[in-house]
Amino acid sequence: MTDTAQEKKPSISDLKLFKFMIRYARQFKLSILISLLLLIFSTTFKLIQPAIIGRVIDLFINGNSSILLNGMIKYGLLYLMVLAVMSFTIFLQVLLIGRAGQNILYAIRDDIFKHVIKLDLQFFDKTPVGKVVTRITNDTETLNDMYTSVLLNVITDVFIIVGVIIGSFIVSPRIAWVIIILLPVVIITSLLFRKVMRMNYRSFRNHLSGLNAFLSESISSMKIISLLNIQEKKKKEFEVINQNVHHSYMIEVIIYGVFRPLLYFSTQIIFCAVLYFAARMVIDKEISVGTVFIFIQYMSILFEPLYELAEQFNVFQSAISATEKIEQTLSVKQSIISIPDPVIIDRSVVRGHIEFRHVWFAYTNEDWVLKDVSFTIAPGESIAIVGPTGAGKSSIINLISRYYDIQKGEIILDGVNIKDIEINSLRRCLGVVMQDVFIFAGTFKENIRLFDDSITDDMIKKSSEFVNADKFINAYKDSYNHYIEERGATLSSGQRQLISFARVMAFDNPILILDEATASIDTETEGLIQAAVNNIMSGRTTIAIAHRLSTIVHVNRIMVLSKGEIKETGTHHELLAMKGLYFQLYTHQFL
Amino acid sequence: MNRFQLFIKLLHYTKKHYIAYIIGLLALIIIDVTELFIPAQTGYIIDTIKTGNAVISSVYPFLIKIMIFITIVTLFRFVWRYTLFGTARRIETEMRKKLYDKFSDLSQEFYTKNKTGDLMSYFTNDLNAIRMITGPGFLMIADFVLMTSLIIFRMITTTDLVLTLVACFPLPLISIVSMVITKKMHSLYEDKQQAFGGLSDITQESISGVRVIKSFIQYYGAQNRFNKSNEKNRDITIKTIQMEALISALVQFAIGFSFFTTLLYGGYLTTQKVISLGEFVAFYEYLILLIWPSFALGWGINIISKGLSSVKRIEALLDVKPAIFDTENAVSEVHGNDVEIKGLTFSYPHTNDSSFSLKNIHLSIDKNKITAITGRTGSGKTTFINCITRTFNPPRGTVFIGGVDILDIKLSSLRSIISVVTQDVFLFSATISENIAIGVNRGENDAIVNASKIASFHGNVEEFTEQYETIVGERGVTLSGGQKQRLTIARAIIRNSPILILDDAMSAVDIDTEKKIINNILENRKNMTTILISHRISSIINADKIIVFDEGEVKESGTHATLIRQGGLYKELYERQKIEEAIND
Repeated sequence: MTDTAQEKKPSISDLKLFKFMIRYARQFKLSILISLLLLIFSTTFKLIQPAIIGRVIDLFINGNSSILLNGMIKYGLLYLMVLAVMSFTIFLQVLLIGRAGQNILYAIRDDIFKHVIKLDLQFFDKTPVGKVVTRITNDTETLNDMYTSVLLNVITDVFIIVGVIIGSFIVSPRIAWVIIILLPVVIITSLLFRKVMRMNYRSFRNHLSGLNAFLSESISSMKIISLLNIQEKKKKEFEVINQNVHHSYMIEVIIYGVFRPLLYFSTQIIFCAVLYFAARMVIDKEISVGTVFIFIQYMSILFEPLYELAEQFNVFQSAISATEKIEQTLSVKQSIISIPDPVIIDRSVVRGHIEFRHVWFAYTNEDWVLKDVSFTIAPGESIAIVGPTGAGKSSIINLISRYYDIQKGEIILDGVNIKDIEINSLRRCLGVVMQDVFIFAGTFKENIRLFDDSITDDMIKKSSEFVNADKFINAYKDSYNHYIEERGATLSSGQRQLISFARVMAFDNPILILDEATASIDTETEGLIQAAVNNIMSGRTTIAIAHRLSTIVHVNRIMVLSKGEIKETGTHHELLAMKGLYFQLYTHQFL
Repeated sequence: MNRFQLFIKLLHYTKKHYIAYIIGLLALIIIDVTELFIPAQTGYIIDTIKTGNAVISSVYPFLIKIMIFITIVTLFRFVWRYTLFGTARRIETEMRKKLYDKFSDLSQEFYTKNKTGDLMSYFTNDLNAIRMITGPGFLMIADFVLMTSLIIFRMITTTDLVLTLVACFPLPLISIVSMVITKKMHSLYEDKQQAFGGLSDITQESISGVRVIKSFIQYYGAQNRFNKSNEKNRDITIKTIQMEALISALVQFAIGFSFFTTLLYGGYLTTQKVISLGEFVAFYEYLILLIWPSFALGWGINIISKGLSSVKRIEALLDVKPAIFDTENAVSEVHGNDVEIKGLTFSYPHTNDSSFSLKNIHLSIDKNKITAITGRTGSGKTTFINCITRTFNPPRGTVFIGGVDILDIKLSSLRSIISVVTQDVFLFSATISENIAIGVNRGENDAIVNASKIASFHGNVEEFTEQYETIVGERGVTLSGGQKQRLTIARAIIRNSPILILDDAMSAVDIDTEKKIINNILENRKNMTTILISHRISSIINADKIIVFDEGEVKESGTHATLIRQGGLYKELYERQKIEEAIND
């Protein structure tokens, strides 16, 4: 709960955003430095151009015609050179800094993905998939907008503004002061604009996301809407939202409509003032006419970045909140980690002796899911766990893989406490088949070997044959290379389990952990699965959460779990003979 | 539709707003004409002060004129922004309503053919393109035509024809560059969208499959795959930036080149006293004024071509006829609530897949009775319901309610006669009480609570702190599958329709609760018809009549007792489920 409460009001600080940017920018400091250097060059060249023309104008007033022609050609060529060099510098500079920005973004994405997939399962239990995906994709994309606009525009704009001021000081300090004194008029207008926009921003965002949510909800529920006969009702609801959004947009139009012209007005005031002072100084013979030209040009160079800066507000606003969220995700710590100097076990020599010693486990606080559970599974033995929903069956198999840490007791594999085993080497021993098998977008082959290229096509084939998955795979024209559509939605849940079995065989995990599917499976596949399970179980230590009679009668032992405790253990026939809980469960329907 | 026809359609969208466009255009003309006089004043000032013996007061009139001009420009800029951009927003809003209404009228067939994301893009991409063409697009083209012709005219009349030609020849380059590049940028933008979509898909998949990654230690591979997509996104953006770098360099060069030619030829004219120094300086300012319209032309053309293709898409959508609509003499009243099926054969349109289709179904669903339908997955149960509710139209003369062919019943009447709880539960982002009462005109509190009690949902609601005011759905509290199902059952019950259909609506509800709900329904719907569809045979044992579907046909029908006695498919399914339920409980 505290998690979500924190997320609702991110503390907005420009400083934090800046720090975050710097942290990543550091890796690319060379190209950033070079491009800043180039930016200084290009800005300088840009400001030299009007000065050249200014000099020519001064020639017109003072010089005689022979010097004039010479000077014009000389300055003309100089101008063309400066222009060419400037254009090229701009090209290089934009390229370099743009590349750096993209590399930074790449690094951020790489980091956050790497961080997230290693997080504890508990994190994924608590955080909806959509939210995690948003952190990795959309929030970083928001930063992308900022990196491109900040690095490409804001920095350039700031350089030009500073450059014009420095240039003005060189040409005429008095006029430079006029500009500096009047510049706050523009800045105040921009700040005011920023403030008004910020006031409107929140309600604007809310209305817009409300509209989008309503639309996507309506489109995906159109069937229900028409079955409930509420199209008209929904149309009315939509019109209200539509008008709200329209209203927000109109406010935006008005804000821009007032501020953009005002911004223009305030810059033109500066223009007039500069023109006035320049004219006076020409009359007083303090500056030349050419200098007036230089200032007229400088003014048009100065105004463009001023307009542009005023509009960068939204980008910053959303970048700050995106950074906040990314930082938050990056700060989530893994709690299930290997101890220093852990025991690394080799799956080829693991015997598969599993022991639970007085295990107590709760997902939160003291809501015990398992209470003092103890049992031993001998190497090669197969065990089925049965019991009602919520008995703690899934917890047992999650604990063996150490997806969660237990509060009390010990879980021991081949005589070693699993807390002392290097986590990846532990999981490498366990072949897990989940109830709902996850299929990646890809071919059958890719789904069996996953990303492990050391698993050859031949191994894939053999594994699939061993678990009877080859029959339905070969029914496709392109068999193992068949691309599975819609992430396996076209396959039955039985077929998906068969793929999962093949996975376990390909990875050759010495221990099988099986959570049987509850969904109804057609008779044919059911038979294949039965045979597959029997094949895999032989020689493998197996723990199965069993739902099928066929599995139950084939295992060495059955454990009946209820409310976090093991109530009965034995074979199918032994348990029936005990006439206890298992018997009751089994016969309940016959009564 | 050709471009001209599309353009006419576009004019149609704007027809209510001619006055706003005229005002905006007038404001634009006033601005452009006024702006034209500002450089001239600067020129006069230069000519005044260059003589060397001028007094400052002689430049005042020019400065005052400039101030007046910029005030006028400022005021009228507000006018066109409000009229043109505001109108574009208004048109967008009108079109959004039009689109939504259209979507409401279309039937299920349309929604199975189109993905939600694609449909959403009408509201985002296409509406945006329409707004751009009716606002900024119009502005850019109008501004280009006005500004360019005015300035060039002014340059020629006040300065020099040849100079104007020499100075302006690089400017069309800007238009062409901005046109070509925006087009290229647009296609890059689409690539980028696609790459970003790919990145989202891979991330979504990795996160959903994080267990597999963990259990088979596939971090490295998953990371590699993610970074391949990450790389692709980076590279496309870098390509975009390269384009941007190229544009800014080219444009700067073009502008500069224009300045360069002006310097040489204009300088020559100045020395020859053909033009004054002030005119020479003013000429530079005219050139600066011309830069923006040169860009505007390129952008504007792209906006128009994108806008017109959106008009095309929108028009095509508005032309789609709903597959299911009221016939001319459709009746709105039906007496009787029995359903009669006579030789219904049906398969889904636009698919060759014959599974889920129906073959020659004959059966009658008696009024005021409970009829249950069972069968394996894919046996056609839901298809059957889709036909009765006209989610898809059955052939004429096959389905009758109260003796009337359902094709002759008004859709709105049919849907008030029938309430369906579908397999896919859908909750609206609203409170629980709003969700329950969504299908009735006025949801009295008592009625909501009562419906909720019948659906065995009331107890759950009381556990929430906000009770019936708890917000559920995508942005609210997450309910369990069973709770969602019971809420949707309450939503159907409150409508009190003569016919109620529950399509496997309790798969996530435990057996005891399911039995309780069914009993509640039995008690409350004594004089109404109920159709129960379920996989779970144990919950339909007490139905008045059980129909077994298999491969789109009616295989068996009768009461539980008779069907068991027959010893067919029903008995087989029953026995198997019995054992498995035992294991799982």
